[in-house]
Amino acid sequence: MDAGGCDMLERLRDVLAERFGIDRGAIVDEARLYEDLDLDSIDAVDLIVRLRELTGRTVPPQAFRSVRTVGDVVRVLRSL
Amino acid sequence: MSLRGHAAAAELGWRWIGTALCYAVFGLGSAVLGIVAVPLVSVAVRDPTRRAAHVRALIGGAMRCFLGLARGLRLVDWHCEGLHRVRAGEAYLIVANHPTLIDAVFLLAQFPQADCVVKAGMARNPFTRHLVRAADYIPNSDPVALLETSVERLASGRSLILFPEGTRTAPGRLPALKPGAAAVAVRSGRRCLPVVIRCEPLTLSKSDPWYRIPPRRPCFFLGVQAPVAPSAVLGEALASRYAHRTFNAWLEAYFAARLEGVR
Repeated sequence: MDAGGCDMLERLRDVLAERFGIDRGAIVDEARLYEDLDLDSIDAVDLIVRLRELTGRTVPPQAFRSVRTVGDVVRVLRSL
Repeated sequence: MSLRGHAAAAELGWRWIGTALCYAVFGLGSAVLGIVAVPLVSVAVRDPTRRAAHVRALIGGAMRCFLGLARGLRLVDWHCEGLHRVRAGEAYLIVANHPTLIDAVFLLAQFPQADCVVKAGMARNPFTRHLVRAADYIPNSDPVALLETSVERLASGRSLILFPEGTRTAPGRLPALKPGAAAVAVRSGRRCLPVVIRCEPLTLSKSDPWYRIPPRRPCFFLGVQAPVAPSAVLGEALASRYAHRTFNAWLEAYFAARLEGVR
């Protein structure tokens, strides 16, 4: 993964750790948001709002429809 | 066929004709509201807030007329209890279970000034779009906007109607609630006004085609329950990351306890 991807992963780690109290060590590419990190649909909405604030870009909820893992979120963020 | 058999068949046939008539009236009434009444109000009242109040009053009146017609034709009956628990001037998150197609008709007839969420398709459909916009209902277009707008509307002092199941109840089952309504409740800080809806015999459910007529005249029971503050249920857990999940589980059990045995 290039530098941009690593940076995104770091920022996503910050958000997930601060906002949801998730252990940073558990936030890896393969971690599944719902099953492994115990997020639900409301948490996903909060995550989108937080990522919007953080990246200053609009994150369309449709883009998150097929997102399953931390790596998927990073990919969506990089594609914006 | 016995005399009683003939009478029952005639009653069933009458309800079939009456039901078809009601569908036609509902469709025609919606068109008249959308194409004639609402544009007239929109021209006469320029202020969007006052306009929405007028349009909602119109819609509420139309729903009461429709229900009056359906009762007058002896197609349905209904009883509503617990309305004395509603305090005028308080904004509630009205949460109801959703057994039938026409639950919203009852709630809009009873709480005409409340906000409600409409399908994104209705907000785009050329026949209903003006109605939805003039009434300032909330289009269910994207989950982020839906959650934010719902909390804002409650904060502004208007009640909001939500069906936490997000769709009609699967017949024979207890309501399974999605966490959205609970999240709105927790974040808005407003009291929930639970409305327990039963329909006996069940009709217009998720698995009933519209033309299937129930064996006897159905009766709706709308039970308006005592308002519940999420903070009273959750205590310190209100600030927890899991507050909406905890409140959702509580709400689901609340409805289950009141619907158990009537499935």
